[in-house]
Amino acid sequence: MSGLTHEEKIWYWLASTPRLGFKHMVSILEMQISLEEIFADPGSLSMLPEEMRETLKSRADMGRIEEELFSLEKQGIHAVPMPSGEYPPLLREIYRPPLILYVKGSLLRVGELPLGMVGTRLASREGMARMKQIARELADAGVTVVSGMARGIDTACHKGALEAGGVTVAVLGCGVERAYPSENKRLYHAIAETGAVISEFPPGTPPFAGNFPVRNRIISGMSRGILVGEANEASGAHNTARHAYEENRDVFAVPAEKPEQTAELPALLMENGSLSARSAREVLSYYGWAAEEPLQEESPEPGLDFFERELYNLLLKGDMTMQQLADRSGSAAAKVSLTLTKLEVKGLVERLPGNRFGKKI
Amino acid sequence: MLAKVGSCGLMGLGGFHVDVEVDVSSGMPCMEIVGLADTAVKESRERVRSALKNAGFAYPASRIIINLAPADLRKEGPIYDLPIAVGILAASGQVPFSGRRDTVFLGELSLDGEIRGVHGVLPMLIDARSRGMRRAVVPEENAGEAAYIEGLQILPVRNLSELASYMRGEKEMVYCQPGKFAARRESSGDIDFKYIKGQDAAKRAMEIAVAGSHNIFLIGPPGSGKTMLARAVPTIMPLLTFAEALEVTKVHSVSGELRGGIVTERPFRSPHHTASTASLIGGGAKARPGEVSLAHQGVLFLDELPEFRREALEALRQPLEDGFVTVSRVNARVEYPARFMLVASMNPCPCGYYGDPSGKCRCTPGQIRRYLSQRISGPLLNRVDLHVEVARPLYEDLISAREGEPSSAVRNRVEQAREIQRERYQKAGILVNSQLRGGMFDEFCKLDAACELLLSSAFQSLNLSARAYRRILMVARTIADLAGSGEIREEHVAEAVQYRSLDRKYWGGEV
Repeated sequence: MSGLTHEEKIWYWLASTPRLGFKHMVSILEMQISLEEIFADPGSLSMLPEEMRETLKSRADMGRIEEELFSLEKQGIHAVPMPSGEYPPLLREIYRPPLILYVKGSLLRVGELPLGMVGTRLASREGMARMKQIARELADAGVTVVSGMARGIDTACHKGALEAGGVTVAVLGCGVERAYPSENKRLYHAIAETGAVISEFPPGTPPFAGNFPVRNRIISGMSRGILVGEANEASGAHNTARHAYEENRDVFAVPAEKPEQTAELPALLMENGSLSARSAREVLSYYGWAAEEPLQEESPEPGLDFFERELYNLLLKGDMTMQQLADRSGSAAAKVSLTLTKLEVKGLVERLPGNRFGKKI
Repeated sequence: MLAKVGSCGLMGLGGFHVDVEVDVSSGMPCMEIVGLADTAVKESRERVRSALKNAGFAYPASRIIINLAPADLRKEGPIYDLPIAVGILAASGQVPFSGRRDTVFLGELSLDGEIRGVHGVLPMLIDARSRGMRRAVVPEENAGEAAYIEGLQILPVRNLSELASYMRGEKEMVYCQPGKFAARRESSGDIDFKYIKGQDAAKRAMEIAVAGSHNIFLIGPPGSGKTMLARAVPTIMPLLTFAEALEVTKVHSVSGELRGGIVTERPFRSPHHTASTASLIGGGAKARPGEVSLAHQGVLFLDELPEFRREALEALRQPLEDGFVTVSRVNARVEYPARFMLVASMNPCPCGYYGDPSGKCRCTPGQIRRYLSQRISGPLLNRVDLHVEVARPLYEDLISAREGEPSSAVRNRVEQAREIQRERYQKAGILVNSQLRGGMFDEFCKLDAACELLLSSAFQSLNLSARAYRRILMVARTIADLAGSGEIREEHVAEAVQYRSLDRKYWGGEV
């Protein structure tokens, strides 16, 4: 059964009313009457528009509220209203915090140091690999990685954290009952298992474009700082960075290493005086946390034959098409094909679209 | 006076005997044709009358009744013009007619008495021969295809006067020389593997495909050379055998596509994607053979596969599975052979540039995933053994003066591999690896422990779908044959695995 207290249920009743926002809530609380009394007589909320009072009246029945909460639970979702102990403390402090969060998993798993990690959806493979590595190391050290589960950088960061066995939180711009984007279904379930998938939007809300800038404030709002990877100036990541600045959170720009990567936003942030970090270690030491021994780059299997090693070395320099590999190694396509299979099976190489291959990241 | 002239009828690829009975008697002058004759046959009346007159013969002003026996089989087409004319000439005493029961006459008449060619001569005469016919009088145009039938004397005729001279003994009958079959390859000088720059992987895949007669998908952006690769396939295909040539000629004869004599090279058919289902599979009012049958023993190239009508693609399943198509007629069902190698090209996504280094692709992962899976059904995918991604060639490849291997070298390897397959499957009733089914896998595609291990690891790490298993075995078997190896080894399996792009579950991006 729902773990909410009686008061929290009333809070839910108010907060789940469509269009009832933070300002309304503030006015209601300023009335200095108990929640119980408000629940008994919603008509007394004169500061609210007529329709809202009607909606509240029609739902002013504890049995009905409990039913609603129960049907959420059946979907694995529980409501976390602001007064709840599960509500992220840092989030309470922002300008317009969400009155209620819908959660799959549990926010109680969030540790002492939640950090947001954001970036573009169209990231380069290297950019994603870097953020994934940083996320992995941060999570390994006990940091909770908070992101938006979007394609690209967000996904890479969640995966990095999961690989380290750490806690990660995904904040969605739609209802938490479904994975968005849909190709992240497996990721979504994995995150809910050990971390939390949350949203301020009620279940069933579609991913309207306008929801995303709004949810970004939660990513920065519940974190002590955010890391910004590859992104453009006009981007969701920039929007998140702005929220972070406004709420006085730390902003770390992760500068690009290679020219192909989108370095616009991190560069811009650094120009404007933000912190920068090239590795997890730098971030951790900023907070006075000792970093774990940096994870060793796994050296390639010693069991590679001569030609396997030759192709692998070629791919270490960069992604290539099969034709390029054949030309540069001076070998026939057949030999290159079968060697690539062996390298793929050994987990060292992965196949990319367009008959290209690259080192597996 | 009654005259009986032998002729033939066509049903699908088979023939049947037709007796053209001509009765000239006294009574109201008329000419009636009976015996389930279709419109073209009924029009014979006008053609025969004019032809006889213009060739200088008398058209009897009598009651002429023509019966095409047997009366319960449909007679179609203008081929009975000639036997009808002969019958009238014989029955009216204008020309001596031996009435030999071992001779058939076929041909259409022009109004001036010239004898025109008709469709389906080869299959009709093959049937006639099997019924004991010894001679056939055919239009000169059709003599080429008819000359390959052993034991059948062919007398080519150009016009009625010539035929009359033969029959009156004025001219000595000159029968055709028996045809000597020599398979040729279309020597189109500018299409050859050596002129295709880069694309080594695709060329290798084509070699494997042709060696084992495997169906193949070419996936790539516009301008990657998919069409060029497909058109080069005939240059590496083995030569037609005589038996195969006869089969192909029969089909082409029935559809009226023959130019001259027997077909000597493998067909290459590439219908446009707006083609109707009937034109692709066969059918229509006259149950004509479709592209799949015209491609029998050759290549059917479907450029831009996703653009074909879904109905047409669905209909491909029968020929791909069974090697023939069944086409329904009003009172019968006709079977045409359709054992061909399918080569199909397609773009990887709606805009066409997924995977192209130019980064032009603006499709979402969902669009990419759905594009091909929506258009290519599971059963169709199940029948395609090789998928190869073709990338746009780099500039340095295009300007490279280095020539690749010529088609002839590839063809030699292909022919050797085919020979190995012929030997191996002598008792199994199949000819090539792509025809392997059921229990034959255990017999002919045994894998040792190392291969099994590699294959199962590959399935795991590459997330291949279950259907890939058999395909990989068949392709590995062909790769081993090309390498002259009796056993399938690890490297053959490893290479075969690379040709299953569309089976990787995360085609289009991670899930």
